[in-house]
Amino acid sequence: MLALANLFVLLSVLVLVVRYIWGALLKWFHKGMHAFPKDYDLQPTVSVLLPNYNEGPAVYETIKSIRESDYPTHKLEIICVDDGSVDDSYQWMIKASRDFPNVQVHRNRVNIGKNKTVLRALEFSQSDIVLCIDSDTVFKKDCIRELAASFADPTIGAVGGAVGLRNVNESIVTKFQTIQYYISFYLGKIPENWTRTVGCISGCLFAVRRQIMLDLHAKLDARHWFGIPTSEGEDRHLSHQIVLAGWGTVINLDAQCYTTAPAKLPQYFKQQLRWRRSAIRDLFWTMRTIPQHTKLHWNAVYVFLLLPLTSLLALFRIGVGFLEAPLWWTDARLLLLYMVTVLVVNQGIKKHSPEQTVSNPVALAVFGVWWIVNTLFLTVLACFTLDGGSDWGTRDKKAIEEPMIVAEFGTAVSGD
Amino acid sequence: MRQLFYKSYVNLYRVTAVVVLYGMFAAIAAYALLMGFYSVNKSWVAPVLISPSNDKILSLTAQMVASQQTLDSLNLSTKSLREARAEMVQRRAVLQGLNEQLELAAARQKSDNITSGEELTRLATQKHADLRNTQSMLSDLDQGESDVERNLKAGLITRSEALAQKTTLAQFRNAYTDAQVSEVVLKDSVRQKMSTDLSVVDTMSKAVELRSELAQLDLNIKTGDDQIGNNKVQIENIQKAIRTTQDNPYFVAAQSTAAVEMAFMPFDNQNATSVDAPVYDCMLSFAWCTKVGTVSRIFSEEERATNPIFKTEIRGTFIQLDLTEHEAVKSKTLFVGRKPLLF
Repeated sequence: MLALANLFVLLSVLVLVVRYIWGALLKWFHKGMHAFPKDYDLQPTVSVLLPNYNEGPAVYETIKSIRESDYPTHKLEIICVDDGSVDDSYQWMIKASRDFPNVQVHRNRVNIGKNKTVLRALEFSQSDIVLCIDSDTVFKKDCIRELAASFADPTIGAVGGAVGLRNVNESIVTKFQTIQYYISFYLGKIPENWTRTVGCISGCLFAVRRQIMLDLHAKLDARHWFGIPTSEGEDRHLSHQIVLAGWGTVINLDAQCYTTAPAKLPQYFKQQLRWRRSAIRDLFWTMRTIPQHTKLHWNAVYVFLLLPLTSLLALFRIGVGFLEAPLWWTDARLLLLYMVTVLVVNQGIKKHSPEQTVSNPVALAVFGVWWIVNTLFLTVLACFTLDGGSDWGTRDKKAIEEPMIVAEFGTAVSGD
Repeated sequence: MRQLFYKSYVNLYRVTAVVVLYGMFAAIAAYALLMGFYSVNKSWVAPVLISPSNDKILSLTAQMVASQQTLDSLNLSTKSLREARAEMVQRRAVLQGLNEQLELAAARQKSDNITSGEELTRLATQKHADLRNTQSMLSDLDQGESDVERNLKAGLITRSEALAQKTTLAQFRNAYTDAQVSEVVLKDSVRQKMSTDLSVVDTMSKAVELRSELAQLDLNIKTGDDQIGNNKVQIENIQKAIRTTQDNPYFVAAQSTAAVEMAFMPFDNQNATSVDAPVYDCMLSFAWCTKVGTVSRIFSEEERATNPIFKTEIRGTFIQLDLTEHEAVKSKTLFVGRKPLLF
């Protein structure tokens, strides 16, 4: 049992080394291997698909930040679809449609979930490229230009960007996520970029050729888990489907946006649980479709199979660890390792993305314990709650105190 | 058909999920409870069954045999040394007495010599003076002899009278010579009395030999004493080590033909333990306890063991248990003094 556990650890370490060491080597020493051509004159038409549920005034900020981008206005439309918010989001969207050009606002009569809301927004799009975003995300001015330029290579089907946090220092939870995001985007995804097989382009900044979306529409719409409709992890699933369809998926680290991360531990826990569920679903789906993956670059097997498998392997190893030495996690060396990692990463952030610098990073060492919670409990919980999940994740259902005024601001209003 | 499969699968999955998740939460709760309980509790001990074939016992037995052999050798050596010392002391006493007698005799002889020497010197001086007088008279003898010849020739005396007179004169001369010889002998006696002669040297040589032998004996006795002292210290050390070893749980187990029931008691928990204190065995390692025996002995030697709950290395000592329920020795932990949760 112990030997098996150690073998798993070896495999996990190998996978992580490939992910981070190989990522670092590619990033700093072999830029050409993971770079891809960009054509800033290409300027295809872009539809921003903005599904919304209970975002309140943040959705207005999001629309505003898109409209303030340096992409030509006539080539950029924003399609907002409200999934029956119970707060004043819809009013803010209507207001945005009045304040900014090329903004469509639609509303679902009933709550149908994020996945279907995005697909519904797609139906209103006529552009070459559709850009799926989260309604609490703001963008750098050149973000859309960078994404659009990345489609210069005709084999690339989808492009993502680097996601940072709007609320870096709001709480220790957001500080920790800042470090997580940075490691994930600036090291973790680089080896995936190398073979154009990014396994999960973040849903808050996901640009894809509209034709691909249309081709996959039926599959995405019919997505289910043993008959139970599934909406969680649509970004991971869409990325995976695009790769399986033979297209390349890449991350353009120059296309940057900022999202609002959960500031409290329970919200963060729920978010991580959703993500873990989607990763496990995707792993099982990968295992079911292994023959299709064998036609891809071997790195795709690493991305879609080995990488998520390490979570399960780590779970096993940690379980054995608790049986061998129940207090192993109190080892001060682990704390030291976390402290050093956090300090080093924060130095990197300070140098390359100063606005994302974390204050008092040493305190984040306490999140060393999170790694155990994350691996041990989240994975088990996710494995056995695959039949559940929330469509809109951390967005709470807030009761509205005043009746909504819909028609007053409407410029292009529709409702089903 | 597919819908039916999906429904069955999901139902089975949900049942499994409920079991696994509740199991996981129960495991987490049990882990937290157990960790918390053993962090706070100060009366637990970890039972150990020490059998005579235990590696430590075998090693200890070998050590004990070696120590006993060394002790026997040292005792034998000490006994021999003591006997030798007694003989040397006795011999020394004899030699010392002889030496004292020799010194006394030498002193007396010296004193006598001095007295006799002075007397002889005086007599030699007197003898010398007498001889001088005699010598002056001898020149008169030559004259007397001439007178005898003249008187004979003159016929004043007869030949026989002349012979008688000459014989008398010759006797005088012989007597003088004898006196001279006596003077020489006397002077020699004086010299003998007043200076060191060979016999004295011989006596002194013997005295020196005697003293040297005494000094050698003193040295040997001291060396023997040192050796005996050294042996004594070694014997005490070995005896102490043996006594310490005898206060070792493994030694106790070595003396027993069957396995001995012991328990490892961490230092943190030693306040709860005393001889005759009751020992409890609990279900789930913390509750529903029953008395299973008492503590019969507390050893003082430090031991190191692995904490049966935390799996970390801890320091403590062994205690010997007198169990009425022998199966209790197989439990992960026992509690000494009282039930940990009062039930």
